[in-house]
Amino acid sequence: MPANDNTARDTAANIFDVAAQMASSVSATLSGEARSVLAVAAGIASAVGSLIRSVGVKDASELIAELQSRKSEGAISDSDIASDNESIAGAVSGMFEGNE
Amino acid sequence: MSETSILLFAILACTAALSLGCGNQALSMNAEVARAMLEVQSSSGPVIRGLRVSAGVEAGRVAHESGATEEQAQAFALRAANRWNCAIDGHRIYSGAVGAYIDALALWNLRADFQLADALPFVSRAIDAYRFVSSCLNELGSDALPELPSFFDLIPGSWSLNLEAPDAS
Repeated sequence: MPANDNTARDTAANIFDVAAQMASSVSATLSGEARSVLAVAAGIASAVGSLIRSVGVKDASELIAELQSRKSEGAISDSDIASDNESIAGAVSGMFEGNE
Repeated sequence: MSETSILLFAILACTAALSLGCGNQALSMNAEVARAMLEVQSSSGPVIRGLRVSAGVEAGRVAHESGATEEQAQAFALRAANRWNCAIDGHRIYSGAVGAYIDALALWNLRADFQLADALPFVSRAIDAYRFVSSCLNELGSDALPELPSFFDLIPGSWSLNLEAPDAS
């Protein structure tokens, strides 16, 4: 990776680090909801700084290939719904067992 | 990390990508954004299904305890479960939006012509879908997917995908 790419990444990461430190310092002087919001913002800014530094460790092609293989994770299919409906029907039937 | 935090994180990462300009790094940043969105998809799907099943079973139990016949209780349970179809359909739309974003990233990676402006409509579409699911869940009394903070409105609507055919004139 070219040196100027690393420099640009470090610069951007440093901006988020400084923002995180500032938000953290200011939040300490506030109270209530404003303090919570700023504390969360500080955490997120810090996380983004870390993320920026991590980019480049893993190649974009590798990342995207991983995402493509996981694309259907958690997606809800018609067969999932049919299976869930069977579960509901089974549970309801179970309530009536012994009543007949 | 809550779902809101993941998306919040994703949008800020997108902003960071903007600060880095275009090219492979911005593409990697967007892949990270897509990964965060995929995490929301994979974690929320089973939760929504579980809520739907619980609602159906609970409605069946109420009907049973009220003296309904089994047939009536089954119908009541199914009707209660189907009230969650809004969230199910919304989650499917969200999954479709995330999948389209990932496919687009793969294409840009192959063509090596990634521009951040091209990716923003896909991000915007996924956020719209997330809001739809979140709104449905809230109406059903669940906060499984928290509403997004209002500053997400800063993403202009004009960045949304325009699926209309271009004007021939």
